[in-house]
Amino acid sequence: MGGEAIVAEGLAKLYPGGVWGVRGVSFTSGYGELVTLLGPNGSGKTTTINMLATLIKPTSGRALVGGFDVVREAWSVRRIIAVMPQDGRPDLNWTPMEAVKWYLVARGFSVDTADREARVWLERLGLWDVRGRSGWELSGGQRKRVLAAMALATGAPVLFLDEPTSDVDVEGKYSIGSSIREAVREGRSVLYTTHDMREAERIADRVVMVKEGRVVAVGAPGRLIESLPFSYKIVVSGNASCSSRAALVELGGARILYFKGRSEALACLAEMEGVTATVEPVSLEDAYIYHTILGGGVG
Amino acid sequence: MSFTRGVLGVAVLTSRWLVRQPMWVLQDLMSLLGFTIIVYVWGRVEGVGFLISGWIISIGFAVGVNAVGQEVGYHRIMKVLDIMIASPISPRAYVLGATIGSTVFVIAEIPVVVAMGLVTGYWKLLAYSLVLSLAVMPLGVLIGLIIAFAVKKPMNISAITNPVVTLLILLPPVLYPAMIIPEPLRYIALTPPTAAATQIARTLGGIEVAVNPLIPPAILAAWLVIAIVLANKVVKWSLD
Repeated sequence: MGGEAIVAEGLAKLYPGGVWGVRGVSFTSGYGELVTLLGPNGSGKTTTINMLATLIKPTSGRALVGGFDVVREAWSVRRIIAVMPQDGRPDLNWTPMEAVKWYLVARGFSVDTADREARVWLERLGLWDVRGRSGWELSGGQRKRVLAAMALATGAPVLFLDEPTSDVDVEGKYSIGSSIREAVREGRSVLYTTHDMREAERIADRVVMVKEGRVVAVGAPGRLIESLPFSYKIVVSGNASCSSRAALVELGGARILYFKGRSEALACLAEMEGVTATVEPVSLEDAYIYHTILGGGVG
Repeated sequence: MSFTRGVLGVAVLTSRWLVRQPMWVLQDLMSLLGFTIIVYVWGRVEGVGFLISGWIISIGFAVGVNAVGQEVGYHRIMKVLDIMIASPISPRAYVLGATIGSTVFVIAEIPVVVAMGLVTGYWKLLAYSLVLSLAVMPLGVLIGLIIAFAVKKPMNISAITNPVVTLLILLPPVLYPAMIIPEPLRYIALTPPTAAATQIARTLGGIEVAVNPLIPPAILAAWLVIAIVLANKVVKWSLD
């Protein structure tokens, strides 16, 4: 498939009651690319996904999925997408095998092909041993994996996965993450949201950070980290501080002190008597803090 | 082909609850048995004839309002509906599949009622009741869909569909003859679609002519028109 998989241009959504879901989101995503939407709660990630997945209508702006307009050509868009909604759960009366197999049949697969694909994706997502258990007997994390399997097994060229790994244990996160990467290797486009920065750093090709309904940063995780005006940090509790820091952020009861170089960080650590902390290199979480909390500047 | 597969896939998924919770079917059979005993004690075989027609038509209507309405509502709660919408599955395939899947709810009742009709000799009434039951099922589906989509909090859907079904089946002359109601009130009593459909079956089956035979079909047609208009306004295959 050529061209961009997803093109969002100034997408905005005004909900009844005058609440803005998003205020003008623009980004693109290609085939064979995994793009992660990152942002605080209520920043517009789910609204963006729901507009692209033809679930809600944009108030203004334009979006193309697979080259089709999501409003005027919603039926063409629906033929090439699959979605895993935030807080979604499979019907508790379904077994994982029934959920995936018969959903695929409903989407137009033959029964045999659906059965074969269901087996492949249930194995990939570590659900094979519980394939015959009803949803009542599955854990919350296993139910999430069933939804992931339903979306991934479709073979849809464009996938929208809204927090697919929330409430999932470490093993489950890795199996969902590797299955998503497998889909990307097959040339599919995946747009997904998460609050897990380490996971995003590990599997995303590109990150789109949103805050209050607007895109505040776009780039590969490595590039976003490299472009920060600091390279090291010290996390301390209480109000410990020092003069050589480049930036300071207070989150809950913790303070994060940022430094341009490792030597400055070590000097600061020596200055703070009685504080047990370590100097760490910055990560995607710090890029997120920089763009969404510090507002892209150092204070 | 894709439409057929859409219907098949949704029907299988929708019917899974019966496999997991078969006691609901037993409960319905117990209700049927209980009503039959009560009606026979008070009205003998003739009473059972009235029960058969009302019960069969109620089944068709309840499948629509209760089973389909609640299933779609449940899919809204679980966001399964979003998964279905953001896919090539058409709304027609989804609704037809959900309706077929929901009819498993009554697979045990139908043979029992049919057997009752044949044993009591009301075979003609039985045949007309089955036809009318199929005719009111789409109306019930439309009402169920309107409730499932119009209710803002989907958790409240069964709290609405259950009383609606009770109101339209137990109160009006569905399980009892319309003739016992004084004539001016009889017309009002026959305004629920279940009562109108039952009256048509009873008139054609030759056991009761409570009102002008043209009135019940007119009532049913009016319900259908209103339901279609409302469904077109309320039921949306998303994009809001």
